Amino acid sequence: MIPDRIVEIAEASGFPLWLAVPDSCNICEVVRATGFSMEPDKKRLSIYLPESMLKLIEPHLKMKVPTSFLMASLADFESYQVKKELSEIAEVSNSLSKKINSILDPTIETTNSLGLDGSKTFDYLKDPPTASIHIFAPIFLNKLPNPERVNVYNR
Amino acid sequence: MKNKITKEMLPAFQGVIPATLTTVSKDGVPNVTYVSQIFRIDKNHVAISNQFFNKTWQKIEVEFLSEEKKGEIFEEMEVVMSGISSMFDDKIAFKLKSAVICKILNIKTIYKP
Repeated sequence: MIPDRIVEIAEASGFPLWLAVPDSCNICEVVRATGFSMEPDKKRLSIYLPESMLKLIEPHLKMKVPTSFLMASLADFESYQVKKELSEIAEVSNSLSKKINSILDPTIETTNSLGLDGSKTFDYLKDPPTASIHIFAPIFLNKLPNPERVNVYNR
Repeated sequence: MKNKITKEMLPAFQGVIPATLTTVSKDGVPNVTYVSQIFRIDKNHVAISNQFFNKTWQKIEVEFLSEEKKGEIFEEMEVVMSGISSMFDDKIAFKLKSAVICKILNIKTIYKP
């Protein structure tokens, strides 16, 4: 079962999302993701990327490449991380793409509340996601309220 | 390859939106985390606030130079840190352990409005 908090984050809580992939020289490319979803049995995590972000990491997206996925709140640094090898890259359907794009709205609102122009800041993520990066089970979520003391959130 | 901080990049150092730091372990596993402060020392150098991370520094697009636990840069970052800290409640510890001084090797613009 997916922890309730992760479901909340996936649906609408306004957490910026990051996906990191190493290149052949072990230097990371890190990009923002538009959204993510997780199967109820935690057997698959899907991370959704717009075309512009996909282009940046596409050369490094080989099967079984290690990835790091971070969900981190702008408001209080509440963070969760998944480290797992890439399993699959797939296209995103139009209907799913529209649904995922609406996830950005709370993030824009949070940014506005910080006194910034949220729409402008996240403009580059407003393109509908075209690709989903799949990571297969088992998925371990690490809660990082303070990364000095990494706690396993749920197994 | 661009390795100098330009005027138009300066707002990114204000710390309103936390910076993201990515490292890679020896066996190639990436790690992404927030850092609360990237302090611009000059056009070619930055100091990264070390509050949280204990992991070994591997290849990133900065070159690790030194770690300072006192001095002008450390003190200036501590002042900024207490400003950031005041925006949050007590459950988050914003105590600067050290300022990690780095030379910039490469700057890539991801998005420019």
